[in-house]
Amino acid sequence: MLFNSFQYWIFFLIVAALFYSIPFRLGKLLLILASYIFYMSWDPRFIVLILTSTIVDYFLGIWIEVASGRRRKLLLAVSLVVNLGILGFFKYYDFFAGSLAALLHIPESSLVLRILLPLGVSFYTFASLSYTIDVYWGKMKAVRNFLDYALFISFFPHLINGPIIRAWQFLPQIQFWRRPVAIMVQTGIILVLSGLVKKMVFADRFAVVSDNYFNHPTSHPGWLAAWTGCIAFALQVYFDFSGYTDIARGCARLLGFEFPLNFERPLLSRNPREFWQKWHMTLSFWVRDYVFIPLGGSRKGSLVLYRNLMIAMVLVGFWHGASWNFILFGVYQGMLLIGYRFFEQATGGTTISEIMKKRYFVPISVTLLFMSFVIGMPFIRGQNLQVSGYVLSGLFGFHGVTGEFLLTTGLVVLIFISLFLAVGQQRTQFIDRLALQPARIQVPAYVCVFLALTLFPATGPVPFIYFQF
Amino acid sequence: MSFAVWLCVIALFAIVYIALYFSGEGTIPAKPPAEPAISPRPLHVGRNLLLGAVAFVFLDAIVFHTGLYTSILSPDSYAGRLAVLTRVEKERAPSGVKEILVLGDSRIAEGFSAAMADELGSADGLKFENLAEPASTVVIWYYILRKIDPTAQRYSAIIIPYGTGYEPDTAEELRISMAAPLLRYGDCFRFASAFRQWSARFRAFTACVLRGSAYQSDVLNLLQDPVGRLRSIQLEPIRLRSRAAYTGRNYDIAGTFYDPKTHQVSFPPNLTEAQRQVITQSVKPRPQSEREHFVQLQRAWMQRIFDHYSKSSTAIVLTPVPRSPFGELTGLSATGDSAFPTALSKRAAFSLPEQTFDFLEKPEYYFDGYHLNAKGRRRFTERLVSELVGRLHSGDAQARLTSTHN
Repeated sequence: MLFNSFQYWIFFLIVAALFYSIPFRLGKLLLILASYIFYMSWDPRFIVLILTSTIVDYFLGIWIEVASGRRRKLLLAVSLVVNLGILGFFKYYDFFAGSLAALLHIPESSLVLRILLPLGVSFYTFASLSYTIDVYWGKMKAVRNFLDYALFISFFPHLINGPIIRAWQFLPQIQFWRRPVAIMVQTGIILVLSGLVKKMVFADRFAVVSDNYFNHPTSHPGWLAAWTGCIAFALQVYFDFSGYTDIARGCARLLGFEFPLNFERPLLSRNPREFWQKWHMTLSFWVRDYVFIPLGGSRKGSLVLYRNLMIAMVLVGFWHGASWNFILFGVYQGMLLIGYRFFEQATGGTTISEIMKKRYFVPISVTLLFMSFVIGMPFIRGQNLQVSGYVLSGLFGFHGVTGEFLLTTGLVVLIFISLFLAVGQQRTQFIDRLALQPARIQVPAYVCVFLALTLFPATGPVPFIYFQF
Repeated sequence: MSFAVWLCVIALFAIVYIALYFSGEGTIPAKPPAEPAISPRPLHVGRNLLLGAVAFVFLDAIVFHTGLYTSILSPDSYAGRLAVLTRVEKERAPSGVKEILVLGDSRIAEGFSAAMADELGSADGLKFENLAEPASTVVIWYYILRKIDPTAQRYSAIIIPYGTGYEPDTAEELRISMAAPLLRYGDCFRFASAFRQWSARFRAFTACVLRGSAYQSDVLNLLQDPVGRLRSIQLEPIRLRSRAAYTGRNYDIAGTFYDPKTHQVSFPPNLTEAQRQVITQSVKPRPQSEREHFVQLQRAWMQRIFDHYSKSSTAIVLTPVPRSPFGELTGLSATGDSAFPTALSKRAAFSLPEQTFDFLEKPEYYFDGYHLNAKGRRRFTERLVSELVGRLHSGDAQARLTSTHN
C-alpha cells in the first residue's frame, strides 16, 4: 500500500472513520491492528521482526528503569544487541559476507544468503533503540502500557519510511490524546496534498530522467548528461522523501498525532552544516544525540570533533544502505562538513567571512552547496562503485565530450516552479499559512493541487526511493 | 549554441540568482518558524475542501468535457485522431446514396479501402466510410456510433468485424484515453465495466468523470511544444486527404513459414528484425483469461450496438477478418458465435460465414503478423463488397443470421 495509491487512501479513510467512531482506548488497538495489516500488506513474514523488537524493548525499558549498576548496562546491551542484531543481519549481513568473500577470494555464494530486506527496518529499529537508550539515560520514564509502546513502534504513517520518531515525542501524545482541532485537520490535509504533489508531480517526473541516465550511464557520456542526470536524481530524492514525510505527517495529524519536521527546505542551505540540520532531520538529530554527542561531540578539541563528524556521517551513509557506495557517500559528506569547519576557522573574522554573510552572496553559497550535494548523488544512485565512478568522472568532465542536456523543457519549468515555491515558503510560510486563509484563497489553491495531481503525475503509483533504505 | 540560447541561459541564471537572493535574509535562522497551531477565526475545513473539489470538477467539465480541449488534442495521438475522425464524420453532409459505415481496428484500417469499395459498389448505389482505427475495440465502436449516428438512421448498413479488436490488458491506458473524447458522465459505470482489472476500472471511471486525467500525456506534450501542436492541427485536412488516398503497404512476408508442431517460425532473409519480432509475437497464444474476457466483452458490447439500432432499418453486418498469415494457426480469433448477443434485439443483422476470407490467410497478403498488405487489402475489399451487395439485396437478413448463427 503505497501512500500514492488508491488502496492506501481507502485503507486510511476506513481506519480514520473507525478510529473516530470508537473510544480512544479501543482506537489505540485499532491503530495497532491497522498498522500491522498495513505492514503485512508488504510482506506478512516480517511482522515477526516488529513484534520481537516491540516486546523485547517494552520489557527491557521497564527492567532498565528499575535496575541499577552493571545490570542496567547489561540490559541496555541486550537491547542494542537485539535491535542492531535484527538490523545488522537483515540489512548488512550480505554486505559483510560479500566483502569478506571478496577479501578471502572465495565464491560469494558460499557466504552470502541473499536476505530480503524487511521494509522500514532501519526506521523502526532506530525508533525502538532511542527509547531504551533514553530510559537508560534517565531522560524518560519507561512506558507501562504495552499498547502505547506497540503503537509508538508500529504506527503506520511512520512505519515504512519515517520520520524517525522518538519515544519522548510520541508516547505523551498517546497518553494525552485529544481529538484534533480544526487547524490540525486543516494543516494535515494541506500536508497530505503537498506531499502527494511533491511525490507524484515532481519526484516521479524527475525520476524519468534520472532512471534513463543511471540505468545506462555509458549511453549518455559527457559532463552535461552527467550533471543533468544527477540534478534530476537529487531533486527526485528530495521530492520523493520529503513528499513521503509530508504525507506521513499529514496522516498523523488527521488522526490527532504530531510527527516532527523532517525537511526544512535543505536545498536552500548555504553550507553543509546547515544542510544536515535541514535534511532528514530526524536521522541527523538521532545520530547527533546517540552517536556524535556521546563520542564527545565538539567538546574535546578539533581532532576529536573531526573524528566524530566523520564517524557520524559514515554511519548516516551506512544507514542508507549496505554497500561501499553508501559508505563513500558518508565519507564524502563527512569531508564536506570537516572541510567547511576548516574553512570557517581559517576565514573567521576576515573579509571573506564578512562577504559570505552578505545577502548578495547567498545565491552563490546555495548554488555551491547544491552542486556539492549533486556530486554526492552517484554514490547513492549508482548500482555499484564502477557506475558511481563513471558518473563522477562524467561530472568532472573526464569523458571528453559535452554530452546531452537530459532535462526536458517541462522539467526545467518544474525546477523553476519548485524554486519559487521554496523561496516563497522560506520567506512567508505561505504553504503552512494556507490553512488560515479564507475560502477565496484556499479554494483556488485546492483546485490547482487537484489539477496538478490529475494532469501531471507519472502513470501508476511509483514506489518511494527511501523504501530501499 | 546561438546567441538567443545563451541569452536565455543567462536570463534563467539571473532569475535563479534573484530568487535565491530573496531566499536569504542574511543570517541563518536557528530554528524554523513554527507552523500555525491556532486560528484567529473558525476554519471551515470540510466546506473549503468540498468547494475546492466541486470547483475542480466544474473546471474539468468546462475545459475537457465541452470540446474546448478536444479541439486541440494532438492529431498524432489515438485520442486526437479519433476525435477528429468522428467530428468530421458527424459534420459530413449526407451523400444521398446508401451509406455503409465500416468499423474496426488496425486490421480493417489496413485491410479495407473505402475508395475502392466505392468504385465497386457505385453501381448498386453504395458509398462506404471507413472509420476503422488502430487499437480500437468494440467498446470504442459503440461510442463512435453513438456519437456520429445518435438517431440510428444515418447508415444503410454498418460493418463490424468479429474476432478482432483484441487488445491485451497492457493496452488499457491507451483504450481509456482513446475513448475519452466520446464519453459522457453517464457512461462511467458502463465504461469502467469494460475493463478486467480493478485498477483499470478505477482509471476508466476517473477518466469518465475527470476527463483531464485521460489526457495527461497530451497536456504535457502541449505544454512542451504549444506552437508545434497548433501547426500540427493546421495540417489536419492534409492528414485526412492522405488517409483517404492510402492504398496499403506494398511489401509482403512471402517465404515466412510457421510450423504448427514446433510453433516455430522461419523467415526469409529480406525481413527486418522488427517484422520478425511482430510475426513471432503474433503466433504466441494469448492467455485464456484474457481471451474469455474478450469474448464476453464482444458479446456484451455488440448487444449495445444492436440495442442502439433496434428500432432502425440499418443493417448490422458482422464480418470475419483474415486472422493470420498462417492458415494453419487456429484459435487466434473468437468465432462468430461469440460476437452475437444472447438476446438479439435487432432484426436486420447478419453475419458473413467465418470461412469467407480464409483464402487471404497467406504470407503474400500480409506485411506483418497481423495486417494485410496492399494486395491483401484489394482482395479483402473486393470480397467484402461482393458479399455485402449480394446479401443486402436479398433483403432477408434475419433469416440469414439464423442460418449462419446456427
